Amino acid sequence: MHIVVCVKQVPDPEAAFSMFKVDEQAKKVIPAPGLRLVVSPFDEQALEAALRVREAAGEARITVMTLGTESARAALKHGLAMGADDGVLLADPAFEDGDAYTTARVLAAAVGKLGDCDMVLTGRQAADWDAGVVGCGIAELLQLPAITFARDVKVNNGTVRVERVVDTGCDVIEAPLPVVVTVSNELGAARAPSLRETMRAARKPVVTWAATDLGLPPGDVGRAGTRRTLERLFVPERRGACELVAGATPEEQGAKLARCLLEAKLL
Amino acid sequence: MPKREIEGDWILGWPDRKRPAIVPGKDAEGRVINGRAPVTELAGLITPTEAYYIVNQLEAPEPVHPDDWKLTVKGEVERAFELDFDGLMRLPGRTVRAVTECAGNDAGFFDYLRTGAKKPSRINQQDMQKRAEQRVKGELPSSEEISSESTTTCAVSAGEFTGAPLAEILERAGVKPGAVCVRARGFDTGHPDTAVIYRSVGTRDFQVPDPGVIHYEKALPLEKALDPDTILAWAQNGEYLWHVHGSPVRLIVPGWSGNWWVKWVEALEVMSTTPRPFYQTEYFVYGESAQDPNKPPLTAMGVRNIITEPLDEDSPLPRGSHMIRGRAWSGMGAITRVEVSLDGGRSWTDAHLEEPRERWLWRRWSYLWQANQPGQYRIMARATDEAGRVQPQTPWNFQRKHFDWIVPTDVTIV
Amino acid sequence: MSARSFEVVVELSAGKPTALSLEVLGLARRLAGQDGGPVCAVCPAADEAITADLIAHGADRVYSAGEPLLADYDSDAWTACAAWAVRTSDPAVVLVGHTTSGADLAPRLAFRVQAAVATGCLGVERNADGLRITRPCYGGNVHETVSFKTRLTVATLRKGCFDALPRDTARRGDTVKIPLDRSTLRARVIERQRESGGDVRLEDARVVIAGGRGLNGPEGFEVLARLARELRGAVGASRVPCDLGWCPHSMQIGLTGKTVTPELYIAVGISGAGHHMAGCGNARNIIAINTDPDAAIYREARWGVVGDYRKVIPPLIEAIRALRGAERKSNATADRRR
Repeated sequence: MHIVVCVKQVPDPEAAFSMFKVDEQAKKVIPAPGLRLVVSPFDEQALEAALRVREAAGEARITVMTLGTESARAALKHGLAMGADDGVLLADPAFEDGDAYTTARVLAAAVGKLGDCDMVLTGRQAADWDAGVVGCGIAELLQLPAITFARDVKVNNGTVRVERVVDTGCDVIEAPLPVVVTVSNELGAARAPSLRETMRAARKPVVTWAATDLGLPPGDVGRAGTRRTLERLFVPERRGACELVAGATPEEQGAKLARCLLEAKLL
Repeated sequence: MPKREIEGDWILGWPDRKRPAIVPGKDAEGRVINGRAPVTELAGLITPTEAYYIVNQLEAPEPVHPDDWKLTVKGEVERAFELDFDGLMRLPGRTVRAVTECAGNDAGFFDYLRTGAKKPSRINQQDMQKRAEQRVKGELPSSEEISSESTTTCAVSAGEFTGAPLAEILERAGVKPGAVCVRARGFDTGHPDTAVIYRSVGTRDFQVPDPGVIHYEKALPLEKALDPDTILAWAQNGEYLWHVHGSPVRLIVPGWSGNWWVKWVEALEVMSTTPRPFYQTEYFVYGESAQDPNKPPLTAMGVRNIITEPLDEDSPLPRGSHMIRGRAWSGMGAITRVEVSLDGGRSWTDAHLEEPRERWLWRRWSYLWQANQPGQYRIMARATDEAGRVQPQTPWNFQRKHFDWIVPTDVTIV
Repeated sequence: MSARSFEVVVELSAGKPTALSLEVLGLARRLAGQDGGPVCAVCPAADEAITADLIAHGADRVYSAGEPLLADYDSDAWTACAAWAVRTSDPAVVLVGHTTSGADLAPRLAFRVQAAVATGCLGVERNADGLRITRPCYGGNVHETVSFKTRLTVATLRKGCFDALPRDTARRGDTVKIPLDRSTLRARVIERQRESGGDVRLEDARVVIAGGRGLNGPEGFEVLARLARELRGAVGASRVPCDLGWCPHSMQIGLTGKTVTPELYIAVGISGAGHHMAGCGNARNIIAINTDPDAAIYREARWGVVGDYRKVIPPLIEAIRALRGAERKSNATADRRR
């Protein structure tokens, strides 16, 4: 079995938002210099899901793949240190300034080039743009079924069984391989890289592909291939005027709050 | 048997062991304001700077450029003067290797040994981040939180400090007769944090006076100030001081607890009467209760010893030989002896003490234990220093400071 | 863009269109305005009653496969139905509520029919050049406004940002049958596990009480549950307690997790970070109970209490009971006087 995990390198989403600046002119979010770049947490969990599938199956090849600049190589190293077998870096100035569509286009082409992929796993959304589009996009471009918001992934005899989180509970979905599955945080924490795997990671192969390697025409990638235009990027205004309920004791505060609710006819 | 997986990381591009680092607490901006040292993961004597514990009483100040910094020396001196950073570094320097320990370190073991309270853990550290958030917003913990929380452990590290001896600086100033102490003042300011005091004492049932916004200051007795190893350090572990560790200059007072090691020093004032700084009259004092009229300030630490291997959490262990390891240090001088007991204190044998024997640095010790019989074992270790003091030296005090009693490690051999 | 249709994919709950679907339908109607083409609702399981309901709420045409088994979301089937409807009616935009279903359907549909897609949208405008949408990103801390280059745009809309139209049974519309080729479906739903949950569903609750990291442990939810019983509300959580295992993930409210739009939202021990506010920011009234007076949540709240929730909530419950009792008495007295 061959599993491809698509990961994205993002500025640390746990960092305080004060570490980011929004440049409205350039329409860019600028993280503070030195802010850690990490693998987007849902993508880490997708890798964790792949590792669990491999552990249950006994063996599988796991390729970790990312679209980014040279710095994204560190995201691949992290994936390899978690236990993936090989890496693919999709780096090319032609890919820059794209959107979810062009990202899916490039990733799908790369998965196609790898050839024998049985399952593509990725996070449900990236921790920066929060769009949740690329996973399903890859599925459609490769004409594969997509199963989203997985909290559990099991493979048996060429069939995948996914527990899918829905608003009111969980659906259990089955589909024949190959499929695309996106992973949600309910899957649980991803494992920390062990020293053994980190040492092995240094020897694992990583290939770099550009647009020409994937046979993608320039009009399909980067800014030229986008389907949307960013008009404005801004930090939303916060409404103010919170009335602090005063009270010398918590009992007083509780009582006063009840009265506020009564007067506002919220009881 | 929980065998901890070694975590990996990329160090300078090579796959390597993940380096031990502090367990940090951060402020709202994501800046580290406190942290505990990973004491059980240290492999040698000097604690790497990124693993060095951090405790602040007031707000960490904004960094000051060394070119903008001045040290003011004044008070009962012949010649008051100011020194800039270059001037300080031109003084004949000295390098001191010493243990830094927070006075409240291991305070929770007092209650464990006296009243059977929950045993603090050296590896399952409490949530530093939550504490930092509460602390920065001036929130007070509830009584339940105070009694149920585990207290500080691993607020201890050892480093190599390079700087100018205080004696050098005071000689240039010319100390007048009648001087009794040197007040070192940091440029960190703030309101003393009542939450910290309540937590350290373990109850909210007493009044803490509010001195308003103050600088962190300590009035160091002259005798200790003139000790050749008391220095104003500009470097730690071979590089300029990090901001969190008190850059540009930190007072190093070997053998005395961390509250004396004033960070961000900006002034030294020689005085002929001892002033009453908050952090040596209301806090960091001995006493039997908050109402005790006699509350002398803490100074030298007692005789300290911790067993770093095995930990309770390593139990059960298989039959066979196991290394029992630990570190011992004393506030009065070098450790000269460590003994180990495997039967809960009935009989004692000497452990192997590692060289070098240094006054202010901890010493590693080890004991090869042939554990051939299955069963429960209570391992204890007891240290003696060059002044002949054997632990424990510090009686229980209401602020639970300078804990130095013997803490057993309980393991099961299967 | 004039004369092209506006399509809405409708979700059902207990045999009726969900409140969010009706909000989206209302939005489509408004976007279509005077010069736009028909508003089409795609609802694979719609029967006569549901169709009539959709038309009464603004649809001009209802597309249905007439398959009751498709009342619950089925990714392959619904995507196929929606794609068929798109190819037949050439809409300018397809809108669906931002739920686990909508968030799955929208990107699949968009890629299948060469459309652009935008998810979790808060605002939609239509001008001469086309559609402009606003959506949150960076954990809800930043907003982006986007326009599109494609002929068709698919968008998912967050709850509580738009209003449904009032029901008008005089409205007329027609229906179209979607032919569904089941042989094209590959993924199957083999089981649906639904929470028994409380009496009140989070998304529908008029009152929601949510707990965060500041609860300091799972027992905190028992305190919130008592308050919820008193106010007849539902209990939710921010992401931290769910990830820590203090409560099930089904209670999570936020950018990932549920979106709630209650009359009253009481945030207990929640800092107010963007990720969480993205799920509850449209509540009519927010109350924050937190020990940290500088928490971001106070910027969103109408009332704030700085204190320990374990000390504040029990007296709050008592006071509510007392006030309700007093009100009942005075109402009874007033009734007797009449």
